Amino acid sequence: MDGTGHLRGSDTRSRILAAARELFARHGYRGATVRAIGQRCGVSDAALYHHFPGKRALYDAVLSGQPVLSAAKTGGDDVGREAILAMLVGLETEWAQQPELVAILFAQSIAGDAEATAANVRMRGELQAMLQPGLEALGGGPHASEALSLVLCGQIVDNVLRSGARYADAVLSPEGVDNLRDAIELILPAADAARLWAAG
Amino acid sequence: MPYLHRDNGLRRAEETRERILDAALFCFSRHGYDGASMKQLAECCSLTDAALYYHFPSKQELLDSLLNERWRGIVVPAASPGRPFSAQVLHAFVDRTLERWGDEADFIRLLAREASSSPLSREIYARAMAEWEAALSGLFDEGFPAEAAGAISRAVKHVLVGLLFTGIQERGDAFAALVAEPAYRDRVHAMVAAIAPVERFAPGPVPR
Repeated sequence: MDGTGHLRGSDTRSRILAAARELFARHGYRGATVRAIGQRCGVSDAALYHHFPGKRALYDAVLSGQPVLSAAKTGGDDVGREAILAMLVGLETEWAQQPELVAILFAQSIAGDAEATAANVRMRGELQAMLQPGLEALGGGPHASEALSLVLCGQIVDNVLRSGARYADAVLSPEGVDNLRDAIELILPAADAARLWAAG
Repeated sequence: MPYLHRDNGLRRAEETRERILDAALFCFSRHGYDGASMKQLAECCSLTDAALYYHFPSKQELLDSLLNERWRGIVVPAASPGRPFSAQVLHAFVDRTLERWGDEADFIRLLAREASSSPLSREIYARAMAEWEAALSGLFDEGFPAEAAGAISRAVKHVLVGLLFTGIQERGDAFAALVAEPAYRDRVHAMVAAIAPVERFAPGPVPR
């Protein structure tokens, strides 16, 4: 295959994916049909099936666009805390660029979409596993990583319910980032909290 | 006697209206606003289309009435005023919150479903949460460091919204039953204790 043919192939693929993201976000896994996705991007059923064997493969491809999580570096107290914060903010920044993924992982899930819920549960499990070593190294208790991943999740849901599609502005605002920094300080042992807030 | 008849009529109309709102809440929260038609809603309440439209001229007005009239259920009264603030006071507030939210799971799902398309839904959520947060802030004593109280309140809110989300996600219609399970309560308390180390900020000398 020559260069142009290959280019066209990958262009079709990304067009299909964009349409799939949009329709899965709006109608959920069950509500979005392969036919509707093909019509949305002007690709024939045959061409679509050439790129993706079925709806499941399309859905997985859309979800694989999720940000890749990597464990926060552990280090001295301040380094470690900043690294955990940077990891959470980085994750939110990447999500903010993909509102359809947030719609799938959060809105569709709460609407009762079983596939979206499975993806969300998987994502939270990975997030917790990534947070765990860093928090433990800094003296966090047994529930630290679960509590912090709930804070992140709750912050996103709260802002989606409050701001709809404009949730990302709120999540990534200075206040949003401060909320995460505060949560990390609260979850970890007291040393730095005493420095940040006038403790009793 | 004619007046009595009129009173009965009014009461019946009021009851029918509430019945329609109940059915709409059930259907919209499960099938979405777009997924439920006025025809289905009329059938659901054993009403004719005309009777339904008499109470609500459009589906949009039905949704808006539902949002405007039913949101107070998710707000939790502060209760036990004057009690000195402690971890127990916070945990009791958290328990009351989850009980309320368990009972109001359909309304919360409605808010979640409509957040992207209904500005009123977003406004109602913000208003209800502002009242809920005011009740939470009211628990802290005057001597409690204000910044720490603010940070703890926000963290508790986010943990609870996270728990609400994952609970509805995992249990759907059975969220209210989940909230009543002792093991679940223990887990919630563990999460709140992890995020809200209130004893760290207790007024008076910090024990070493």
